[in-house]
Amino acid sequence: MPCAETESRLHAYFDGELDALAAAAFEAHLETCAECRAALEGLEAMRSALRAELPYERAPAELAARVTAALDREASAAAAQKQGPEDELMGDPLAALTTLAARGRAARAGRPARGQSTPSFGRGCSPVRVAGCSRRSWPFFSFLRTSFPRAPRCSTISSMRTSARFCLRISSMWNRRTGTP
Amino acid sequence: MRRDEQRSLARLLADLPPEHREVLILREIEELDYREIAAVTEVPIGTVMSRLARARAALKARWSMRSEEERDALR
Repeated sequence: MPCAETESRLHAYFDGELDALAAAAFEAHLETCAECRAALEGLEAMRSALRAELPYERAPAELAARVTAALDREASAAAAQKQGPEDELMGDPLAALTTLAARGRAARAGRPARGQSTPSFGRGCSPVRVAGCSRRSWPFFSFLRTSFPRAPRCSTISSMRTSARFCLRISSMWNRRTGTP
Repeated sequence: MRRDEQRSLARLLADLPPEHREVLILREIEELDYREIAAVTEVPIGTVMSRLARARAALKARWSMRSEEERDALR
């Protein structure tokens, strides 16, 4: 018979989503529940393994700062044009990518992007985090390689990574633009 | 050995359904909180929580199955 707390509060506790009172209550529960302690250890082991073993790389701080500054400039320029989101996305895919990336980072930081009243993502889009220029950045780079075989500046785009869904959206924009089926 | 582990864990993750893979990457790698994941994936926070729990259970199951297979192979 599994402990009910394992299902309901363990993950929220592990992810730091419980308020202080609830977290203290769960910690008291942990002292008496071996099952929850074991499950917590399992979650920690998996997180460590994922972070240690997955072929993701962070950008050096200086590179990240440079790209971040460039993204903010792109976002400001796009906002100044006061286009609707779809119009904006029908333009240059790289510009759209950087605009959405800046919005994503702004939403992550809990503040709107400069010139934007509220953070908004295009439907189905995820934020892009600046990462190292590693060819192993997954899944972004592999999607780009298959979706943008002839895309210019692919090495620039590959310095970012995002979700597969976002890549699909960008690639469909690119295909519309270039007439690729 | 280490490269094998990397490939295997990446493959296990890649084999998960997209909505499970997405929530795991956003939480464990990108370190977004539940509210941010809900905004990015456009689902309610409750769905984020249940999806994350299911994704972790699925990955854990595949992970331990692989570990057992490796132990068996060494015998």
